[in-house]
Amino acid sequence: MASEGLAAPIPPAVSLSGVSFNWPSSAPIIRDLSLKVEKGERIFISGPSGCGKSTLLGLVAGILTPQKGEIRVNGAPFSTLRGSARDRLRGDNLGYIFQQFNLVPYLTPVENALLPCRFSAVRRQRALEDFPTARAAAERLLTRLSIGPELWGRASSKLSVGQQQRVAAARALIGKPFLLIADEPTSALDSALSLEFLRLLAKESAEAGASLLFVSHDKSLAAEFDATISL
Amino acid sequence: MVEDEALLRLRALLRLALQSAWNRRFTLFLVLLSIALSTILLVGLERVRGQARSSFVQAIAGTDLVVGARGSSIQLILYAVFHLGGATNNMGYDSYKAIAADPKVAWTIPLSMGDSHKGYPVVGTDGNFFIYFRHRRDSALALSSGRVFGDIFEAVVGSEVAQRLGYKTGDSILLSHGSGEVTVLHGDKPFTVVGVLAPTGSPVDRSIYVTLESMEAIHVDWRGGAPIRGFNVSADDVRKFNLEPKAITALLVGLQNRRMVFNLQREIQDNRTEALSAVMPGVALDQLWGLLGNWEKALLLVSLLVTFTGLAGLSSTILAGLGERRRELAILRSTGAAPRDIVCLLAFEGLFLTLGGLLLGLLVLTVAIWALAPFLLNSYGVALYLSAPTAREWAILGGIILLGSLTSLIPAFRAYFMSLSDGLGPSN
Repeated sequence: MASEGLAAPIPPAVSLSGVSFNWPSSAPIIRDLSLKVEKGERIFISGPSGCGKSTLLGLVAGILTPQKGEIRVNGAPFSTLRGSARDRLRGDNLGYIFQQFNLVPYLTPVENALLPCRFSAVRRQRALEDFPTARAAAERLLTRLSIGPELWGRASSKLSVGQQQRVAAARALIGKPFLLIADEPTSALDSALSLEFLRLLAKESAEAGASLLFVSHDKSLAAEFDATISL
Repeated sequence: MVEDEALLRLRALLRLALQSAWNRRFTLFLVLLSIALSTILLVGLERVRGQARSSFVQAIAGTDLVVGARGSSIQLILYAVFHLGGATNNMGYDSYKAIAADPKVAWTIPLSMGDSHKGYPVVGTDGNFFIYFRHRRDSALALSSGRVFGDIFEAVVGSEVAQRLGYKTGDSILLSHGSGEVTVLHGDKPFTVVGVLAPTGSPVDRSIYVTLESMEAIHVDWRGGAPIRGFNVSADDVRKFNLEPKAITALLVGLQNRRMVFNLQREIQDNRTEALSAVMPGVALDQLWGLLGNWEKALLLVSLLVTFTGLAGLSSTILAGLGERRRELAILRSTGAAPRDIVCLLAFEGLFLTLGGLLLGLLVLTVAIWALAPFLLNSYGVALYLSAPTAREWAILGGIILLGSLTSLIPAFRAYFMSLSDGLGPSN
């Protein structure tokens, strides 16, 4: 702990300062928003539909550019980077889980989980720090998320929704990204499965040292998080 | 290191493109077929054109002049060399002897035609045919079995005649008068097969060769194309007749010195005793290509239109599929694929389809040529053979690949702009 004081301060995983965004010809949906997500922190974002949850995720993921303010990911000025640099930063540092239909249907679960390592050298390198091959890393993650070897070679479209979401989680976590963004990942699951999935996700993101931005309209899940943002 | 990285990424994209295309193989197979069809048409047309020309040219490789009764030079060449089309008038035997005696002339091959055997033309000639006739640039004829004819009623058959009709030396055959639908058998004067020629890939393969005297012998008791009623000369008695022919159909001439060809041609054309044509085979064939040129252009145009239709189908099929693949592309984007990776992915798909169609087309074409070559040689005198693509064919193949790649850039860039505006998901 003492040595940490001497080193440069660890930048937050994500920081927004004074961010405003509006869709073309409509009122600002996000106005002067500032927030910090520290390394390893778990943030729950809730709010009714149309409140700007997805817009916020789009901003953090670098898909949308704010009209005002700045967004930094791991200290890098994400919102002012050029498109290709932003794509690279996203590929290296972000894991993304959609609401549903997360998997590329013609790839097996293992191939799906390997995708980030195929596009990002950084993710591949990080996976190779702990495992002899990226494939071994994918298989280990899948196993930890209760996707056993009997499912690895199966067509992803043949998996149940819950299994698909766990494969998506493995894919988001491979190669230890700084930040995990989950956009209503439990909305297609029943409440028992939701909680189980969330706990697995939280455990694995802690294992990977990643911060977690979790969007849901299901406020009962909020207790599992370090902080809640209501939009 | 940087190069390794780019290579790895390219490999991953190629694999993804293949896997994605395989996933939609039933739709894409139709596109593949249309590109295969384009390839078959374009390359097939070029191959038939090129090989037909070269087989025609090669079939008369060593001949400097073809002489016959005055008439159309194309008709003379087609009849004398390829045994196609109807007979021209005959030329006198004396004229033949006069030309053969000319000091400029190295050799002559007289040809006498009009009879047939089971649909194959029978050609009366002399021993020079086996010595001087050239095919495939500079190959002399060879016998695969037996010997050349020496006496009347002896026949040498081409390789295909022997193979199709199952003839070997010693077999007895009957010739027919005429070569069309209606023929009359020379039933009283059978011939013996004494030799079988080796394959040449030219009209020689489907011809039967006998001496000029044999041709005369089977016609001594005929007048005006029909047997003379009540007058029958047996095969033994016919030897007592003078069998020197009075006319031949055509004459192939080889010169001592090729530069004399115009002189001799003029002398023959100016012959006061008989109206003759002396034709340089190359010139006659050029006239023939000139006649066929417009048909070739029309066929080429149709083939090009089919190709454009095929490539437009390629582009529109990939474009139409983009709607259903938005989700897939968004997922790839969310896992780190850049918009330019999406462009590569779709361009690769177009390239795979183009290459796949090309290979399928070449395969079908190869099988078709292999299967149809005997029929084409038989019916049209065109010798097609399997061969590596020529320079022109490579150019056609390259053109198809280039056009295919360019057209697949249309959906690729559509996907590029779509993925930019869609972000990580069409639902977001």
